[in-house]
Order: sequence, then structure tokens, then C-alpha cells
Amino acid sequence: MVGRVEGHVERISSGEAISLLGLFYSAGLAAAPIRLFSVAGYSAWIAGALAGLIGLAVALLWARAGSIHPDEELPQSVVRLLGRPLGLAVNLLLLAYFLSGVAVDVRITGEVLLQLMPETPLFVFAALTLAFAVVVARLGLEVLARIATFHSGLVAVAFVLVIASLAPILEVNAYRPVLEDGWAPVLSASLTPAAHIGQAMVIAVVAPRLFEPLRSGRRSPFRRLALVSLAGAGIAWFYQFSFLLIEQGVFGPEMSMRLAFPALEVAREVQIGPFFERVEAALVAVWLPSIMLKTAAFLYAASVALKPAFRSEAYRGHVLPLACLAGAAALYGVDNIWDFTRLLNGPWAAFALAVEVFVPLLFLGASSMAGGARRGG
Amino acid sequence: MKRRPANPDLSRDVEENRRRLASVLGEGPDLVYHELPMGGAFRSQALLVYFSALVDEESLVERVLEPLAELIDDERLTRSGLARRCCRRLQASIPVHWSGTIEGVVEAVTAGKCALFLAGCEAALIADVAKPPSRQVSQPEAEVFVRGPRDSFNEVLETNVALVRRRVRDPNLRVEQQVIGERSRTPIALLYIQDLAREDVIREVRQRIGRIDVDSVLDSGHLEEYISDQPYTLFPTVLPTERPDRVAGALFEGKVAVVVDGSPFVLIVPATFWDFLISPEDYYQNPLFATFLRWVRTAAFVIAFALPSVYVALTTFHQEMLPTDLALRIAAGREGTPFPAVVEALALEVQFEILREAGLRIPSKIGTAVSVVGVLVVGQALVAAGLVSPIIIVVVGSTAVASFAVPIFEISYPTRLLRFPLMLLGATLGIFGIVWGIGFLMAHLTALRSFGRPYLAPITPFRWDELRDSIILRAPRWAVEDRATTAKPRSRRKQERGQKPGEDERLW
Repeated sequence: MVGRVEGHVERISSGEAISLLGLFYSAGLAAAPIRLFSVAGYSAWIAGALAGLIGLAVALLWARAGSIHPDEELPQSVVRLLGRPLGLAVNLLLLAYFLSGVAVDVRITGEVLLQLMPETPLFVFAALTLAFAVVVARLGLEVLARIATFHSGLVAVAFVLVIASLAPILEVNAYRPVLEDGWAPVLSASLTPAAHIGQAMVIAVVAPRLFEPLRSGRRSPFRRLALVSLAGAGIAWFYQFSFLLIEQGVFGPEMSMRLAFPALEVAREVQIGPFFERVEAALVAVWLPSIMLKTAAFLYAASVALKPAFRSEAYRGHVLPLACLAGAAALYGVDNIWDFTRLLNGPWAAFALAVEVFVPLLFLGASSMAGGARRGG
Repeated sequence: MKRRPANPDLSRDVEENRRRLASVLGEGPDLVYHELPMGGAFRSQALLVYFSALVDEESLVERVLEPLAELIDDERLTRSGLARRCCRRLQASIPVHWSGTIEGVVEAVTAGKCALFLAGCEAALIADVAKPPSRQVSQPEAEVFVRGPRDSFNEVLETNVALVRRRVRDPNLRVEQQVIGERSRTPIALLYIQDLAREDVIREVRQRIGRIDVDSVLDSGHLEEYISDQPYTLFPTVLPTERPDRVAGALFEGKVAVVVDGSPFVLIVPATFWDFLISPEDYYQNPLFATFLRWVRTAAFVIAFALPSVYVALTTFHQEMLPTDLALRIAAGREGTPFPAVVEALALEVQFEILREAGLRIPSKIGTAVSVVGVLVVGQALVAAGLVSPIIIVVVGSTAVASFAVPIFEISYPTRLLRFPLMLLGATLGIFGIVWGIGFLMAHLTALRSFGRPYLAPITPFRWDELRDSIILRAPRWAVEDRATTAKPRSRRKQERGQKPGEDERLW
């Protein structure tokens, strides 16, 4: 009962898992809109809505994959199902995906804070974000999810304040004309935010850690996992989409596409009565724990993905080395914010979405074939 | 009463026993060896040993010496029947038992009992006449209420247990007594209600106390360090209280209390963070007002912890967040001051801690004067000299007052200490530094447990059914039908449904 020991099975409730996934809005909120506005123009909000549908479909796909072996962490199921060489290759892909997610989050955090404190070196922000992520990931999923639960209330309050403050100044004409260049640019623009919302696939990694083992209860493992992942991804999408609507309604697509972080500029416009104005630092202070917790969740997932490679039961030993790798990638992977934006909206979004779609398809296909083979005797 | 031991290591010779005892206890002004002539015809010898400062003289005379005196001239007394007659005679008026070992006699005598050695008898008769010096039950000093009971624990274990028993007349109340401390031989008692407290918690408390192997335990504070879940945290995971009503309330919630002889503070486990911000007085007042008070205390905790660092961050990095008029006033106040805001804040906080410590150490009449002089005169002088701005006096003063607004003082220690690193974070990274600091703190608090119960429960992990009596809300007593998860699952129901007044009768 005293302290924590390796191998101790931690459990989080469905509500805590939803709170944690809901905080995944943070990276997409800061990073996704630029391409949306530059490619889709006035139809950016339609692309944002479409991104939500794609992201939710991805979350559902992973819920399906995670529910096949609900008592087992996904990386271990992958190795068992696909065999060790192929399974490890797929796990390497997952590891790269999670690590790149950590690096992207760290860089986004640093760049956003640099906008407010330009004289502080990026390294300081990156180091502090990673230090927090390392501590929390090592403390375990229980701690991670419980801080997320505590924090999500604060996020909801801040969100309501932003909406209440900015709703009166939204310009309806900023949302028209609709689909002036057809569906192609809308579809293309939606891929980056969809990749962010699809990050709810982490649920497949945490599946065996849900409060009541998935096999118990009235609902099937898939239905319960689907409920959690859809609710979590849905909340993340709701925040992102609402901010997208505000950005478009306040600045219009032409101006928004020229801003490094439109959400930050929106925050500068928030005014609550005659007393509270220029509260962007306070709003960023609410956003900051969200992205730090998301970073910790991805670091946790990356560490778990590495377990089968070393045949280890414990993940904690992997956390610090992986954080150092991700930190180096975040700091030295790209030179400046514009290169970073290009990377984020180009190669990274393509890679992330590919992993989010093809890995579960591969897993489900292999599982189906294995099931068929067993049935065939 | 214990049976006479089969293999005693005491001698049949009284003088030999006296020598053995003296070799262990030595000779001292308060150690009395009282020789008594015994027996009518055969003239035997007896020796009564006790510490004069630890026994109740009245009991000693009336219940031990007078009954024994009746045996001195009893002609019917035989050598073989002496021990039996003495025992029966004393047993009629006082609890007695036999001890056959020097260790047993020493333990009894040092606990304030008296030991009677009889010639030809290999055991000593122990009579309980203990009455160690103690305070009367008085008003609590650390947990003062406007409304509610006014008695508090003192340093005597039996008195403290009695104060709890008076409130908990449940036959299931269990009191497990044991002794810890190789040299101090401190009695402690474990209190719990058998059909409410969880077995695993009771077992864990027993285990943690059982593995303590130390020379001395002088106060419940000593014990607390040995049974806490996390030895390196600033946050208390065991709740100390001097109020019997708080202990009784905790027992009814399925918790376990530990009473330590010599300490007026009883420990309650498990204890969550919020327990330190909740006062038993909340239950003696209007529930809506009590809810408001809980919010006030929470706000006071946050102010005591973060106000100086927020001030430093705002004035150093985020001036734009301040309303223009306020920003101008702060700027005007700070004009000409030689130090940056963080130095001002750190220096004044240190100054205040010195004043607080000084106020505690010197006699109370002068102590009050020192605090007032310190806060008002020194602060005013610093402002007049242009060394600090007036606003920082307001900030530090508010912080100081807020740190006193918690019902259990132990919870203000972490705020007093952690506000210093938080100020440095605010000074170097602004509001984001504070967020990082609080983030690390949250991670630490979320990972903490008190005897298996998460430290931040029921807020996180969120437990909807426990919110009715939590830091967020103090619902009317009739609405709180279930106990928290500290109790056994089968005993969660606290009262029958439908206790709301006027629900079953309509007068108008």
C-alpha cells in the first residue's frame, strides 16, 4: 500500500481517460490553423469540421484495435500477432510516431511562449516542458490522468470566458463564400488538424489501464473503448473547432493565414469587462498545462512502445532517454518557426496520419486472418 | 489478572530483589523503598517500591498501605498464605497482578505503579496507583472555535481515550494499546470502530507502528514521521488534532486514530489534503455558511501560496495584464525603490518569517508587541525610507494573514516554504514559471497517498458521491447519507433516507 512499485497495475477511470484525451486539443489549437486558412480560405471552418470527422473515425479505428486484446498493451499485442520481427518494426513506427509527437509538442510550447517572452532561450522552455513530462510519465498513468481531470475543469472555464468575450465581435461574413474552390482544397486542408485529433489513438495504449477491466461490465470492450475515445477526441475537436470559428470570425482567413499562432492573437482580443484586458498570458497559462500533459502522455506511450523491444516489464527506465531524444529533435530538427510550420503541415502531418490509419488497419487485418486461421483449424 | 509466572527470575529473598532492582533503577530521591513488617507470629518482611512523583499518594495510602497494615498484626497469617492474603486484600480495592521478572517490575514501577516484594515469594505484586503529573482537560489552543465543544486532549493517554469514548459509546469502538520506544516505553493506543474502519487500513497502521524500533517516542510528532507514507514531502499525510470531537467524527467516518501518551495531539489516518482545510466547526454551523467558509479557506491557501509570486510575475513580465489605473499606481509606488520586485518580496517574506518565529519564542505579552511593531513600524519605516514599495507591504501582509486562515496549522508549512521557489520562478519565467511550479506540485500531490487513499480525493480522482461533504460543498447533514470510501463498503450508509426535516409532516 505504501509507495509505488514497478509492476503495480495502475487503473484510471473512463472519465479520467476522457479528460486526458480532451486535453489533446492543445497542440492542434496552436499549430493546425495556418494550413487550414492558406489552403481552404473561407471554407476553413468546413475543413475543420471535416477534420473532426476524420479524427473521430481514426479514434474509432484505434478503439477497435485496442479492444481486440483489451488486457494487453497494444505494442505487446502487435508483437504477439505479427511475430517478433514485423511486430518490432510496427512498434518502431509507433515509437517514432509518439516521439515525433513529443518533439512537436515541445517545439510548439517553446514557440508559443517565445511570442510572449522573446528574450528567453527556446532551450529553457523545452527543458522545463520535458522535465515536467519526464516526472509525470515516470509517476505513471494514474497521476497523469488525475492531473488532467483536475485541469480540464479550468480549461472549460477559460473556454467559456473566451467564447463569452469574443462572440459579440464575430463577423458572419468571414465564413462566406462556402466551398468557392470546391471540396479538394477543403479535404487537403483538413488532413493536418485531423492528424492532431487522431492522436486520441493513445487510448489503445492505455486500454488495459482503464478502471474496470474492459472485459467486465455490460458493455463490450469495443463499445466502452469507443465511448471513451470518441468522447475524448470529440472534446479535443470541439475546442479546436470552436477556436477555428473564432479565429475566422475575428480575423478572417486572409489575416489568420499570416499569423504564426492565430489562437494567441485571438487570446489578445479577450476582454472581460473594463477591468480584465490583455489576458493572453493568463489564457496561455491555462493552455500550457494541457500541452505539457499531452507531452507527458505521448512520452508515456513512447516508453510503453519500447517495452517489447527490450522484453522489459517496466517502462520507467525508457522515459528519460526518450525525452532527451525528443528534446534534441525539438530543438535542432528545424531552424525557425516557419520551417517548423512547414514541417508540421507537410511531412509530419502525412506521417502521423499514415500511422494513425494504416497501423490499426494492418493490426485489424492480421487479427482477422489469425482468427480465420484459428477457425479454419 | 495475570497468573503467577512458572519460571520467575526474582529471588525469594527480599533484600536480594532490592539489590537487583537498585542495580537497574539506581538510587534517586523520588525512588522509595518502603520496608514493611509482615505477619503476626512469624515476622516476615516486605518491601514496597514506587516512584513518589508518579503515584497517587491518596490511593497508595488508602488502597495499599492501609489494607497491608491490617495484616501486620494478624496472628492467623501463615508464611505460605502471606502472598495469597496480600493479593486478596489488595485486589478488593485496586487492580493488581503478579510480575515474576525484574523487567516487568521495572516497567510497572516506571509507569507509576507500586511493586510489593514478599519474603519467600518469587514474584512481585503490582498495584496500579499511577497518577503521573498532568494538566487538566482545558480549552484547545491550536484549534479554537466560536461554536462547538471546548475540551481538548491533554498529555495522559487514558484521559484522551476517555474523551473519545465519551463521544463514541459504540460497543464496536476498539482500543488497541501497545508500547513503543525501547527506553521511553511510551504507551500508545489505536482507536477505531470495528465495523466501520477498513481492515486493510487497520492492518497497515498496525504494521507501520509495529516495525518502529527506536529508543524513544516523546510525542505524536515523533510517531508521525515513522508512519507517514512519503517521508520527504512537505505535505502532511497524517492529521494531528487536539480536538476530541474531530477524532470522534473521524472514527465515525471509518478512520483510525492513534493516541500517544505524553502528547496532546492525536493522529488521524488516512488524511487527505482537503481534510486540513475542513474544520469540525463547519458541522456546527449553517451548511451554506460553512460551504462559504470552506471556499474562503481554499482561497486563503492559494493566496498564501501564490500571491507574492503572482505579484512578482505581473510587475516584472506581464504589466499589460494589469488594468491601467492599477498599473500606474504600482509603478508610482515602485518609483525610486532600489530593488527589483522579487528582491523586495523575498526580503519582506524572510523578514516576516523572522518576526513570526520571534513572536512564538518570546513571552506572549511581549510577543504580540513584537509582531505589531514588526509589521507596522518596520514596514512603515521601510516604505518611508524608500526601500520598498507600499504595495509589497499589502501583498506580504495579505499573504501572512491568509496563511493563518487554515484550521490545521500543519498545512501552512508547505505554503510558507514553497512560496520562495515559486517567487523565483515568477521572477525568471513570469506566470509560466508559476504554472510550471504548480504543475510539478500537482504531480507530487496527485502521486501522494495517505494509507492507500489518494491525497487529493475526492476532487481527483473525482468521486461524485463524496462531493456532498467536501471542500466544494458542505451539504446539510440530512443530505449526506453515505460515508466516504474510508469506511468499509458494507458500512457506507450513515443514516436512513428521508431525514430531511418536515418531509413527513406538513404543518401549514
